[in-house]
Amino acid sequence: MLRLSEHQVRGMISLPESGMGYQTVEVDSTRGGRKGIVYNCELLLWEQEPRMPFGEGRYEQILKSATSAETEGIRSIRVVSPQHYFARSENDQLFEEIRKRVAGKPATAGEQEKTEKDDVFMRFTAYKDDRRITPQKGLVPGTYATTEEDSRNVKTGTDAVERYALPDPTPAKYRHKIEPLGGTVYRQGIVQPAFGHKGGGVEVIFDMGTDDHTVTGLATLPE
Amino acid sequence: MRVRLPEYWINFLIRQPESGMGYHRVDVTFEDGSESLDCVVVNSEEIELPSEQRGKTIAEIRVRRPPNG
Repeated sequence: MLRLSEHQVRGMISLPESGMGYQTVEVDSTRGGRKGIVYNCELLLWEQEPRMPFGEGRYEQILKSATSAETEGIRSIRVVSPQHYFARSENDQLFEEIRKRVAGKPATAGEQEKTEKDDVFMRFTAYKDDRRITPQKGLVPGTYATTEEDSRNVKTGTDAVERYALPDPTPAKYRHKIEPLGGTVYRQGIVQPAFGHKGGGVEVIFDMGTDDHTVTGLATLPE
Repeated sequence: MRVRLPEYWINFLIRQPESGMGYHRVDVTFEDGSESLDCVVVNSEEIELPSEQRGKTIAEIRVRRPPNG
């Protein structure tokens, strides 16, 4: 992880983004060629480095503590297309997740997939009595949720409203855990901007709903 | 204005796919023939309607489909 120099930052600003707030790059340095992602034109994470949440405040801390790129012998940084970056990525999980984010399509445009046995999803709502959850604790067909991984970005009900572009400004502070049976059909995509919110979270839609007793674990987040 | 839907329409919407997490985008036709397009229903039970539709009886609710869904 490197903090780019002012000169490099100006260079990145002059280049197109690969997605909202980031650029997929190939870096030529004295250590050879490497791939990475540059965030906000200033913070370079190498391909193999683990991702970390850039919550408010935390990003500033990470940037401040990052090693200066000036010591790393970087000769050039070239923005490459996300498809080019992901085609050779060794981190398949990261590749798949970011590919979907870059693709930017809503769940309704996604391909049908089936859950694995231990997949976990979350549903955020402002309503304690969520109408989409049956008395037998299943989801009715055509109900939205998000992945457990994406839900980690949501710390408050207000976060959920923004990330999932919800129309009701009431904080969606109730979070249901969903553990579908293996083989449950769903489609996945990216929340599109709507109702004045950025969206950008991962959304899934369970076209056939989920079985009884798959909705558990009601948690209440801060607003 | 936000209005609670009659049980008939609540049960109808529960059987329809959502438009997003916890809401539907709908077109509404009233008994007098007037319409309100692209309204939001939250939790299948509360609809945001223009104030000029106050007190009117809903004749039909149609869930809007996304262009690719």
